[in-house]
Amino acid sequence: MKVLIVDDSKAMRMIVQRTLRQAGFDGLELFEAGDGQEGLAAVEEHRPDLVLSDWNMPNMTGIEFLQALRAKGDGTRFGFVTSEGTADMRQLAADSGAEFLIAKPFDGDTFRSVLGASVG
Amino acid sequence: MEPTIDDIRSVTQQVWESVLGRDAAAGAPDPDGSRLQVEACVHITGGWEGTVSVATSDALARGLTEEMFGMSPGEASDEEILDANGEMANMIGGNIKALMPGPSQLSLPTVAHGAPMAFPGTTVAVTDSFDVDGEPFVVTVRRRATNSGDGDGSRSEVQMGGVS
Repeated sequence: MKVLIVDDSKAMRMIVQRTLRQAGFDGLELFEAGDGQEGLAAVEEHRPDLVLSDWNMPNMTGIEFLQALRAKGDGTRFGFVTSEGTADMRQLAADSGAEFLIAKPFDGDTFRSVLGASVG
Repeated sequence: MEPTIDDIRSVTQQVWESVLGRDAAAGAPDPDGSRLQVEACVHITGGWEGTVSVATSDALARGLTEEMFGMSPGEASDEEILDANGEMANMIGGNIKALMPGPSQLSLPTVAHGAPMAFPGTTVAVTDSFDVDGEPFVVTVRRRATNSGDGDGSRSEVQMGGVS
Protein backbone atom coordinates (compact mmCIF):
# COMPACT_ATOMS: atom_id res chain seq x y z
CA MET A 1 0.00 0.00 0.00
CA LYS A 2 1.30 3.46 -0.93
CA VAL A 3 0.93 6.29 1.58
CA LEU A 4 1.83 9.91 0.84
CA ILE A 5 2.74 12.01 3.91
CA VAL A 6 2.41 15.77 3.35
CA ASP A 7 3.73 18.17 5.99
CA ASP A 8 5.99 21.23 5.84
CA SER A 9 7.82 19.96 8.92
CA LYS A 10 10.38 17.27 8.16
CA ALA A 11 10.31 16.40 11.87
CA MET A 12 6.57 15.74 11.72
CA ARG A 13 6.90 13.63 8.56
CA MET A 14 9.40 11.50 10.49
CA ILE A 15 7.03 11.22 13.44
CA VAL A 16 4.11 10.17 11.22
CA GLN A 17 6.29 7.48 9.63
CA ARG A 18 7.43 6.26 13.04
CA THR A 19 3.88 6.23 14.38
CA LEU A 20 2.67 4.18 11.40
CA ARG A 21 5.32 1.61 12.28
CA GLN A 22 4.40 1.73 15.98
CA ALA A 23 0.77 1.15 15.00
CA GLY A 24 1.86 -2.05 13.29
CA PHE A 25 1.35 -0.89 9.72
CA ASP A 26 4.37 -2.58 8.20
CA GLY A 27 5.28 -2.94 4.59
CA LEU A 28 3.93 0.42 3.52
CA GLU A 29 5.49 2.25 0.61
CA LEU A 30 5.90 5.80 1.93
CA PHE A 31 6.30 9.03 -0.02
CA GLU A 32 6.71 12.58 1.27
CA ALA A 33 5.81 16.11 0.17
CA GLY A 34 6.40 19.47 1.87
CA ASP A 35 3.17 21.32 1.09
CA GLY A 36 -0.09 21.04 -0.84
CA GLN A 37 1.44 21.99 -4.17
CA GLU A 38 4.11 19.34 -3.84
CA GLY A 39 1.40 16.99 -2.63
CA LEU A 40 -0.61 17.44 -5.82
CA ALA A 41 2.45 16.64 -7.91
CA ALA A 42 3.27 13.64 -5.73
CA VAL A 43 -0.25 12.23 -6.11
CA GLU A 44 0.13 12.44 -9.89
CA GLU A 45 3.55 10.83 -9.79
CA HIS A 46 3.06 8.07 -7.21
CA ARG A 47 -0.71 7.40 -7.27
CA PRO A 48 -0.88 6.71 -3.49
CA ASP A 49 -3.68 4.68 -1.93
CA LEU A 50 -3.90 7.12 0.99
CA VAL A 51 -2.80 10.71 1.67
CA LEU A 52 -2.00 11.81 5.24
CA SER A 53 -1.76 15.60 5.17
CA ASP A 54 -1.08 18.44 7.57
CA TRP A 55 -3.58 21.31 7.41
CA ASN A 56 -1.50 24.43 7.96
CA MET A 57 1.25 24.65 5.32
CA PRO A 58 2.84 27.35 3.16
CA ASN A 59 2.04 27.74 -0.57
CA MET A 60 -1.03 25.49 -0.46
CA THR A 61 -2.78 24.41 2.72
CA GLY A 62 -4.02 20.90 3.33
CA ILE A 63 -7.66 21.80 2.80
CA GLU A 64 -6.80 23.58 -0.47
CA PHE A 65 -4.85 20.49 -1.49
CA LEU A 66 -7.82 18.21 -0.79
CA GLN A 67 -10.26 20.53 -2.57
CA ALA A 68 -7.92 20.76 -5.59
CA LEU A 69 -7.76 16.97 -5.77
CA ARG A 70 -11.53 16.58 -5.61
CA ALA A 71 -12.08 19.44 -8.09
CA LYS A 72 -10.24 17.49 -10.75
CA GLY A 73 -12.11 14.31 -9.95
CA ASP A 74 -9.35 12.63 -7.97
CA GLY A 75 -10.91 10.52 -5.21
CA THR A 76 -7.69 9.34 -3.53
CA ARG A 77 -8.42 8.50 0.10
CA PHE A 78 -7.40 11.46 2.25
CA GLY A 79 -7.01 12.13 5.98
CA PHE A 80 -5.62 15.04 7.96
CA VAL A 81 -2.93 14.84 10.64
CA THR A 82 -2.91 18.31 12.15
CA SER A 83 -2.29 20.23 15.35
CA GLU A 84 -5.79 21.71 15.09
CA GLY A 85 -8.90 19.65 15.51
CA THR A 86 -11.78 22.04 16.11
CA ALA A 87 -15.33 21.03 15.27
CA ASP A 88 -15.43 23.59 12.43
CA MET A 89 -12.30 22.15 10.85
CA ARG A 90 -13.50 18.57 11.22
CA GLN A 91 -16.75 19.52 9.51
CA LEU A 92 -14.97 21.33 6.68
CA ALA A 93 -12.61 18.38 6.26
CA ALA A 94 -15.51 15.92 6.06
CA ASP A 95 -17.51 18.15 3.71
CA SER A 96 -14.48 18.42 1.43
CA GLY A 97 -14.04 14.66 1.24
CA ALA A 98 -11.60 13.75 4.02
CA GLU A 99 -12.12 10.39 5.71
CA PHE A 100 -10.71 11.45 9.09
CA LEU A 101 -8.80 14.08 11.02
CA ILE A 102 -6.17 13.01 13.54
CA ALA A 103 -5.17 15.79 15.93
CA LYS A 104 -1.57 16.14 17.08
CA PRO A 105 -0.25 14.91 19.41
CA PHE A 106 -1.10 11.33 18.61
CA ASP A 107 0.34 7.90 19.26
CA GLY A 108 0.29 4.46 17.71
CA ASP A 109 -3.02 3.63 19.39
CA THR A 110 -4.65 6.68 17.78
CA PHE A 111 -3.41 5.64 14.35
CA ARG A 112 -4.54 2.05 14.90
CA SER A 113 -8.04 3.06 15.97
CA VAL A 114 -8.55 5.64 13.20
CA LEU A 115 -6.86 3.84 10.31
CA GLY A 116 -7.85 0.39 11.53
CA ALA A 117 -7.87 -2.44 9.11
CA SER A 118 -7.96 -0.12 6.10
CA VAL A 119 -4.18 0.32 6.09
CA GLY A 120 -1.66 -2.43 5.75
CA MET B 1 -11.61 33.98 28.19
CA GLU B 2 -8.04 32.88 28.82
CA PRO B 3 -6.39 29.46 28.92
CA THR B 4 -5.62 28.34 32.44
CA ILE B 5 -2.32 27.09 33.75
CA ASP B 6 -3.92 23.65 33.97
CA ASP B 7 -4.72 23.85 30.24
CA ILE B 8 -1.11 24.71 29.44
CA ARG B 9 0.25 21.98 31.69
CA SER B 10 -2.08 19.32 30.32
CA VAL B 11 -1.41 20.15 26.66
CA THR B 12 2.36 20.46 27.11
CA GLN B 13 2.74 17.24 29.07
CA GLN B 14 0.59 15.39 26.53
CA VAL B 15 2.77 16.60 23.66
CA TRP B 16 5.97 15.59 25.45
CA GLU B 17 4.62 12.19 26.36
CA SER B 18 2.94 11.33 23.06
CA VAL B 19 5.52 12.69 20.66
CA LEU B 20 8.74 12.28 22.57
CA GLY B 21 7.95 9.70 25.24
CA ARG B 22 9.42 12.05 27.84
CA ASP B 23 8.06 13.41 31.08
CA ALA B 24 7.81 17.20 31.34
CA ALA B 25 7.60 17.84 35.07
CA ALA B 26 6.56 21.12 36.62
CA GLY B 27 9.71 23.20 36.94
CA ALA B 28 10.92 26.37 38.56
CA PRO B 29 11.00 29.49 36.38
CA ASP B 30 14.40 30.33 34.93
CA PRO B 31 15.36 33.38 37.04
CA ASP B 32 16.62 35.59 34.22
CA GLY B 33 15.73 33.52 31.17
CA SER B 34 19.39 33.26 30.22
CA ARG B 35 19.17 29.51 29.58
CA LEU B 36 16.26 29.97 27.17
CA GLN B 37 18.21 30.25 23.94
CA VAL B 38 15.73 28.78 21.45
CA GLU B 39 12.22 30.18 21.18
CA ALA B 40 9.37 29.29 18.80
CA CYS B 41 5.94 30.82 18.51
CA VAL B 42 2.66 30.64 16.64
CA HIS B 43 0.09 33.42 16.31
CA ILE B 44 -3.65 32.91 16.70
CA THR B 45 -6.03 35.31 14.96
CA GLY B 46 -9.82 35.34 14.81
CA GLY B 47 -12.20 34.54 17.65
CA TRP B 48 -9.31 34.68 20.11
CA GLU B 49 -6.13 36.59 19.33
CA GLY B 50 -2.70 36.09 20.80
CA THR B 51 0.49 34.07 20.63
CA VAL B 52 1.75 30.83 22.08
CA SER B 53 5.51 30.53 22.51
CA VAL B 54 7.83 27.83 23.76
CA ALA B 55 11.36 28.58 24.93
CA THR B 56 14.09 26.18 25.89
CA SER B 57 17.81 25.70 26.30
CA ASP B 58 20.19 24.84 23.48
CA ALA B 59 20.68 21.41 24.98
CA LEU B 60 16.98 20.54 25.15
CA ALA B 61 16.24 22.11 21.76
CA ARG B 62 18.83 19.76 20.29
CA GLY B 63 17.75 16.83 22.45
CA LEU B 64 14.09 16.98 21.50
CA THR B 65 15.07 17.33 17.83
CA GLU B 66 17.25 14.25 17.90
CA GLU B 67 14.47 12.40 19.72
CA MET B 68 11.94 13.40 17.05
CA PHE B 69 14.20 12.40 14.18
CA GLY B 70 15.52 9.28 15.90
CA MET B 71 19.07 10.64 15.62
CA SER B 72 22.21 10.08 17.63
CA PRO B 73 23.41 12.88 19.95
CA GLY B 74 25.07 15.70 18.03
CA GLU B 75 23.59 14.66 14.71
CA ALA B 76 20.84 17.30 14.27
CA SER B 77 21.52 20.25 11.96
CA ASP B 78 20.54 23.86 12.77
CA GLU B 79 17.71 23.60 10.25
CA GLU B 80 16.36 20.45 11.87
CA ILE B 81 16.53 22.04 15.33
CA LEU B 82 14.51 25.04 14.12
CA ASP B 83 12.01 22.72 12.40
CA ALA B 84 11.48 20.46 15.42
CA ASN B 85 11.13 23.33 17.90
CA GLY B 86 8.73 25.11 15.56
CA GLU B 87 6.66 21.94 15.49
CA MET B 88 6.55 21.90 19.30
CA ALA B 89 5.08 25.43 19.22
CA ASN B 90 2.70 24.35 16.46
CA MET B 91 1.38 21.35 18.39
CA ILE B 92 1.06 23.14 21.72
CA GLY B 93 -0.37 26.28 20.10
CA GLY B 94 -2.83 24.31 17.99
CA ASN B 95 -4.19 22.54 21.04
CA ILE B 96 -4.48 25.77 23.01
CA LYS B 97 -6.24 27.41 20.07
CA ALA B 98 -8.80 24.61 20.19
CA LEU B 99 -9.63 25.57 23.77
CA MET B 100 -10.30 29.22 22.91
CA PRO B 101 -13.38 30.76 21.26
CA GLY B 102 -13.26 30.43 17.48
CA PRO B 103 -13.16 30.24 14.61
CA SER B 104 -9.51 31.25 14.56
CA GLN B 105 -6.49 30.73 12.36
CA LEU B 106 -3.08 29.46 13.42
CA SER B 107 0.03 30.90 11.79
CA LEU B 108 2.99 28.87 10.67
CA PRO B 109 5.61 28.69 13.43
CA THR B 110 8.47 31.18 13.72
CA VAL B 111 11.67 30.16 15.46
CA ALA B 112 14.49 32.29 16.83
CA HIS B 113 17.83 31.52 18.41
CA GLY B 114 20.00 33.57 20.68
CA ALA B 115 17.74 36.47 21.64
CA PRO B 116 14.28 36.54 23.18
CA MET B 117 11.43 37.24 20.77
CA ALA B 118 9.51 40.48 21.13
CA PHE B 119 5.72 40.40 21.16
CA PRO B 120 4.57 44.00 20.82
CA GLY B 121 0.94 44.72 21.57
CA THR B 122 0.45 41.64 23.73
CA THR B 123 0.18 40.92 27.43
CA VAL B 124 1.13 37.67 29.13
CA ALA B 125 -2.00 35.66 29.93
CA VAL B 126 -0.32 32.65 31.48
CA THR B 127 3.12 31.08 31.58
CA ASP B 128 4.28 27.73 32.87
CA SER B 129 7.75 26.28 33.37
CA PHE B 130 8.72 22.66 32.93
CA ASP B 131 11.76 20.60 33.73
CA VAL B 132 12.81 17.93 31.27
CA ASP B 133 15.79 16.01 32.62
CA GLY B 134 17.13 19.15 34.28
CA GLU B 135 16.62 21.41 31.25
CA PRO B 136 14.02 24.23 31.14
CA PHE B 137 11.02 24.33 28.81
CA VAL B 138 8.73 27.34 29.19
CA VAL B 139 5.33 27.82 27.56
CA THR B 140 3.82 31.32 27.46
CA VAL B 141 0.43 32.41 26.16
CA ARG B 142 0.07 36.09 25.33
CA ARG B 143 -3.18 37.80 24.52
CA ARG B 144 -3.25 40.49 21.90
CA ALA B 145 -4.16 43.83 23.45
CA THR B 146 -7.60 45.08 22.42
CA ASN B 147 -6.34 48.67 22.28
CA SER B 148 -5.00 49.00 18.75
CA GLY B 149 -2.75 51.85 19.91
CA ASP B 150 -0.60 49.28 21.65
CA GLY B 151 0.68 47.99 18.33
CA ASP B 152 -0.66 45.39 15.99
CA GLY B 153 1.00 42.43 17.67
CA SER B 154 0.55 40.44 14.50
CA ARG B 155 4.15 39.50 13.97
CA SER B 156 7.02 39.11 16.33
CA GLU B 157 10.46 40.57 15.88
CA VAL B 158 12.73 37.69 15.20
CA GLN B 159 16.43 37.19 15.15
CA MET B 160 17.58 34.12 13.34
CA GLY B 161 20.89 32.55 14.04
CA GLY B 162 22.77 29.32 14.11
CA VAL B 163 21.99 26.88 16.83
CA SER B 164 25.01 25.61 18.69
